[in-house]
Amino acid sequence: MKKILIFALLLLTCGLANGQEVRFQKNGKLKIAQFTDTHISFDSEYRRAESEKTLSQVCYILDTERPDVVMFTGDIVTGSPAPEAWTRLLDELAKRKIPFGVTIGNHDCEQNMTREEISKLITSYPLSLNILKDDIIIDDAVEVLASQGDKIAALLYMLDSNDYPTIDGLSGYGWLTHGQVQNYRDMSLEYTKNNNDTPYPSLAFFHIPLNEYEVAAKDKRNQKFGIRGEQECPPVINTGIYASFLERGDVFGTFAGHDHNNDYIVNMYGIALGYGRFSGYKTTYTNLRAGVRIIELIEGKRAFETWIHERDGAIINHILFEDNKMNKFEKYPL
Amino acid sequence: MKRVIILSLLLLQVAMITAQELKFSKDGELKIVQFTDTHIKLGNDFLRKGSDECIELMCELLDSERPDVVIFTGDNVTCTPAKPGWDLLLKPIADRNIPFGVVLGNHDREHDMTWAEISEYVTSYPNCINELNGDLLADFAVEVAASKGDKTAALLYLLDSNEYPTIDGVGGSGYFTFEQVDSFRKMSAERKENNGGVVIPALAFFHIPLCEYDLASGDKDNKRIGIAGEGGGSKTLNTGMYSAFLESGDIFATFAGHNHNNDYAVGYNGIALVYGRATLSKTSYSDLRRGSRVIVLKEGCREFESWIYEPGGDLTYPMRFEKGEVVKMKK
Repeated sequence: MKKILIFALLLLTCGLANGQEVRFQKNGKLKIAQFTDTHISFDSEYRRAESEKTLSQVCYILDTERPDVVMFTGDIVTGSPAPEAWTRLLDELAKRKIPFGVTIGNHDCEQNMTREEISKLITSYPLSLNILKDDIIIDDAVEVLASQGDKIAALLYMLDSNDYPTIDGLSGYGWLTHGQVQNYRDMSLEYTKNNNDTPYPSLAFFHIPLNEYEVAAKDKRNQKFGIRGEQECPPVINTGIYASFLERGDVFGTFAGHDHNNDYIVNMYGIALGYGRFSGYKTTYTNLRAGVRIIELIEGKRAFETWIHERDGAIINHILFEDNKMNKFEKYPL
Repeated sequence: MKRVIILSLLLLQVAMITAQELKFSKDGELKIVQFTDTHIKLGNDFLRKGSDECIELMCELLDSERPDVVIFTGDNVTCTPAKPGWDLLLKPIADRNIPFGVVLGNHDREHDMTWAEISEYVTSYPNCINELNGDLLADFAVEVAASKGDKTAALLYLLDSNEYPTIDGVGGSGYFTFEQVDSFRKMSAERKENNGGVVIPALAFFHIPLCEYDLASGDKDNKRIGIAGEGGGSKTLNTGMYSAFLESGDIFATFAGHNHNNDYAVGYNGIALVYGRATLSKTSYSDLRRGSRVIVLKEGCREFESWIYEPGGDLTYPMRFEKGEVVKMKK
């Protein structure tokens, strides 16, 4: 009996460690799947049927790509009953023991769940990478450990781009507040200090694109791959997070959602500004086929590979970002 | 003899007080002249002639418009030796004993006077309204007293938009640092708190336009008055100053220079983003007739009138800013 108890305890600790630890593989890579704008909704028969397709698409990607970590970048569940939808989705990750992070989109809190309730449900999963503070998941950096040893080798920032303007008279969408920008700047500085003044290679995930996406995409001097199928919908005002990334020197790739017809990635001043691929079905507007952006972060440098994996298995726009430049692979080397 | 000394001391005091204190007139107005991009250069006869023409226009304008305060918004003196240039530039203002404020442009600190030397020299004029921070001209809010009483009725922020990007590989113009954005937010919050939680209407003056100038100007939904002859603000990084203005709620108009072919004003989310008219003559590029922006700030509201003064007294692009939009005005 005692043996069984010890064994169970061991299993439990293993389980916890597995869930919360993100680590580069032995080959020096970390595979991240970015699901964005799944817009799962069970509030009509039609939407339920579409959402079932979304869920099976998520499973298909998890089983074929077998990512080390999953990032959901907002507008995940956008219909009632929301708890059922969140549970259905997150159970698929739990089943496969994949750690996951969530950034909330502008539509996530419009159902029968508050930000607090969503935050609690997410963090009730042992594999959740989010941190709860005052009942809400907060901006945070996931530490990615080196393939060998216990040192941090990379950071994945998860930032909350909020919902809608909080200033009278402004239309459009939310933004990271000045307080959040300052908080990022503090976090980043602290990590860099603790790493002998060397910024960690870092990526950032959030829902609403930055103003600089549009600026960068319109400037023909910048390298750009993928589809720009609609005008970007960044917030009206710019609180300076992109300039902060640039100044702090850690974040070299950002991944947003929000605009369902965009999946491009554009390089401005050595920061890759990327959209994920819309990962849902017909519960909202879209011209693109459901898919997912896979990001394979490479250990020890500011480099990643990325591609879009579509629902029928097509793999497109395979890119290597390295030395502040993007290069396209002619063929996906499986 | 003693009387003479006392009298002259008294006179001096009076002069100093009138010089440094800004106050709305009985009509509830404050007239501001914005000289921008004067680019005083004295290197050869051609440049000297251009600089003289610039000064002539300034004198003519000061006598005709009789402003309460003058603000220089950068690229003021861009030659070596710089000191005679500053002397030439500031003499018309000093002669008329008009209070003046200075913000520096990206070219002011490239010559034989350091930032500190320029700062010391400019503030040695008794009618200068800048205050040094350490030994530098730095971001500062000038108070404008109400027409009646001693309460502050408006603020004029003088902000330093720096010179060039300090991040490797980033091109374009300078921008406000994050520390400046943070410092503005604190200044503004403090003023509001000291004013019983009520926002004080404010203007901001700086050299390099914000990114939002291009965004606002490029969107046809926004009313725009004046000339947009070249691109501007989108050439800089956005460190969030405009959003800080918007959030603080005090600044409702900003006045920049830097792009000599722009002199427009555009309303954007309730803030007027305005260029001055380049005051220079021949000493740098410009497709526009030389002139200067005149601003009449109204007391107790978020409104102003403005026009461009051109040589001979031609007043062009008269406008009014009210209810968050620029409106054409007949003059």
